[in-house]
Amino acid sequence: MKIIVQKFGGTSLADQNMRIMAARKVIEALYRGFSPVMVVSAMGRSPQPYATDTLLALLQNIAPEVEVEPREKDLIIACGEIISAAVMAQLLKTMGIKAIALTGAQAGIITTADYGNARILRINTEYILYVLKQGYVPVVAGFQGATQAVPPQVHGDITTLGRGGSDTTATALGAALGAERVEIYTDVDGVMTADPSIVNEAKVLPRLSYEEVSEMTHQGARVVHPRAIEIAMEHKLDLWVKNTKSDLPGSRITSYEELSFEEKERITAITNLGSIGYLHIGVQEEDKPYVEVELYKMLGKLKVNAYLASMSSDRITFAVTRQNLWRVRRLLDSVVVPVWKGGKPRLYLFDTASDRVSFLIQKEELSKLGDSAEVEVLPVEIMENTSLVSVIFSHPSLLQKVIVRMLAVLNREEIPFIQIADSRLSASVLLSDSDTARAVRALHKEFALNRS
Amino acid sequence: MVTEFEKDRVVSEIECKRDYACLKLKLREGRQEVEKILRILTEVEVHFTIPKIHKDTLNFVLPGEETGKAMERLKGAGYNPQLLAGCSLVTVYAPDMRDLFGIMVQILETMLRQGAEVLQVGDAYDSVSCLIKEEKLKGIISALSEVFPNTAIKCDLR
Repeated sequence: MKIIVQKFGGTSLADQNMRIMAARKVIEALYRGFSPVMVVSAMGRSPQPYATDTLLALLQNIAPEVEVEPREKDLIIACGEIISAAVMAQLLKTMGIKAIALTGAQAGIITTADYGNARILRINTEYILYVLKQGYVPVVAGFQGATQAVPPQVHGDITTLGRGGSDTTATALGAALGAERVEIYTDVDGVMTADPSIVNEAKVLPRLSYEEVSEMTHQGARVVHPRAIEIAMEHKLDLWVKNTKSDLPGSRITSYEELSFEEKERITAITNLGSIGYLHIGVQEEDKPYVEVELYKMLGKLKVNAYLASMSSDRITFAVTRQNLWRVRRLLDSVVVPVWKGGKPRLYLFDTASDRVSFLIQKEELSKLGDSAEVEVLPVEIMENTSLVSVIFSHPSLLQKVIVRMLAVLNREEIPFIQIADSRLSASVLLSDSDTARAVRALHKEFALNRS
Repeated sequence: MVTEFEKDRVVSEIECKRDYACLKLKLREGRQEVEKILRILTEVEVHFTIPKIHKDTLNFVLPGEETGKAMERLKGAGYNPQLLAGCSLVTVYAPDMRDLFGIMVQILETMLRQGAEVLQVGDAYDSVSCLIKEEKLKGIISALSEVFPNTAIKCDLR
């Protein structure tokens, strides 16, 4: 049995026409001699009636001040994919195809009990293989699984897999079933050399390594979720990214060894990750490590990830998403970090200049301690509208030359940058949001990616 | 068939590279000058990494064996780089660092407890690298392996 897993995202199922196009992809696979397994996301995006956020609002709107339990939250948002699975199974049936809708649990997906962000522990493929052997197309609800039932429970709890959940379902099922390939259907023709809404000449990359795609997704490209790539890489499973609306071949994501000689040392793409807040906190050199540790501890507790961290003797520097920036600002406005190394304790206050009232009240209150403590005010500089623009490449040996070329382009185009960063397969610059599109276009041209 | 799947989202490996150095240069003409400096290094095949700009200085990390040619070329171009030699680069890997909250603090706290100054730090989606003085390496690796138990250690501690 030649198994193919075909995953369709929300936009690919948004209306009846799109759903018919998706069903045709399944029928084509049948004609090509495959046994297809269809994985589906919820239909459309909020405010459409079955989109995840719309379903969640059903609970939240009962009494917005009462928090929804994570278990119940998972139960309701899992319904979006279940509705999709039932609709697609029925649609296939009307087109003369034997199909059966399965929830994640019915497809054998057992997960951890981390509601909202569960991890797949194992997949029992017995039933899904039985269904395939009977000639049915299983239509599996993506993004979900269930915990192992613990007596007196008869069934486990429904869980959802978090961000990129349906991609993860498709890839994990592909690996468990020993599928020949996994196809991820979306609204673009494949993995592109840049965001086509910024660069008109962006091209589809016919073949990429798992590592290149992983780097791209972490640096802002919306392709396949990194968790899915991780599973595919582990199980040496080819992924294809294709457009539901076209018959173009799309992009194949495979192992580095499968790339051509040229692809093994190439510039792959330009990505951009917007909405970044960049913070500098000035601090006395002798106390900096203590303040830094306390600060990162508090960010960890808030579940705020700091990145682009940088060390200098008298400044703490890091970036957070703009989504998290208000939480960080509120934290800095409200905390006092004590440092005591014998003698008088030193109490550090953060001056973000955003909430002068709470800052001034704190300062005044602390001044009442008189000579028993030293109160120090740390100036916080916040750059709110920054973006990370990255050049992605396929081999680490290209790093130094890429950084130099990237900076040359920015200098030539008179685009100021704030910081530089590197990783194994990318070179990045932090710059103002307003310069992002210009930088992406100039870099795309410089590296001749329109000729990919 | 039952297949085991997603790995635990924990630290998977600690790696150290010995004989690294850090160079610090004053930027005289602003940030545009960074390109010029890094180009000089690329021309003599210096494998710099973790370049960072701090106010009017540029810092970067490089293998110890490449410091000679880097210093010579930069001095030849009129710079006066400050060299910090005898360092090690310690890298902590995890499948998705950005989903693991608090890893950075665990690393920094370990360094602080061992009295090691983090001279430079670089982070990616799957790793955090810290440059420290070589004499602190043994203590740091042993402390990190306690903080992140059952983690593969790739480090020559001779």
